[in-house]
Amino acid sequence: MTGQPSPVRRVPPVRRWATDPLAPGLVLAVGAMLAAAYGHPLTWAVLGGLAGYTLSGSV
Amino acid sequence: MGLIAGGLLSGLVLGALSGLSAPLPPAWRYGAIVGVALLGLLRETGVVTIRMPQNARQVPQDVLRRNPSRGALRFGFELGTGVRTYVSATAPYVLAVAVLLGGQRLQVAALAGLGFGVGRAATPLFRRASGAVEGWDADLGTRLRVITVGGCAVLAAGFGLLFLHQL
Repeated sequence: MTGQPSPVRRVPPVRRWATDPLAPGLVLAVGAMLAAAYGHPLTWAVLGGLAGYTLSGSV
Repeated sequence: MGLIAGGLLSGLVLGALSGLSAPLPPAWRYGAIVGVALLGLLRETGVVTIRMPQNARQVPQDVLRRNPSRGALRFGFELGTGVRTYVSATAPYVLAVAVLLGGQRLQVAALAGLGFGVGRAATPLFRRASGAVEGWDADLGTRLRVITVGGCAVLAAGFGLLFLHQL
């Protein structure tokens, strides 16, 4: 036991930004609004995706 | 795959049951959906307290130990159905009520279920893609309220727009 902390892995800023937990929610929200504005049936799929993503905090 | 299959099954079951609301005029049904979505938003923001039914358990971890590949499929399937484990947000309830009251074709209910499964699958996919899962988990903790409240608000707005197309 040396007591040394485990090294923190550095992630490129672009990757960190693109995989931010808010990113899928934002994409789905924009997609849902666009689809709903046209009354497209895919609105249901996108809203379903958003509802599923809100459960990110539970397993 | 399990998550998507589970979501699809739930969507199909709710879609099959949605025929019960078919006698109601579309404007009533969509009005009720928007009302439930707004109520869900109030619940998510803590303005109102409504206890919702949920299966308050986690999917047993030994499912994964017995047979890793089949276990992962089953684990995902149970999560994907949305009825075999905790439901920590209000948006899935709003979606379920919307599919029940929407009275749309079964394919549309299946789309909602598929989307739900894909949305559930996005969490582990983005977590893994981040390359730093501990940091991602910490970020999720700070953003979860935005995701759950924002998700409910978008559902209310989305169903509101669909309601306008029904008029």
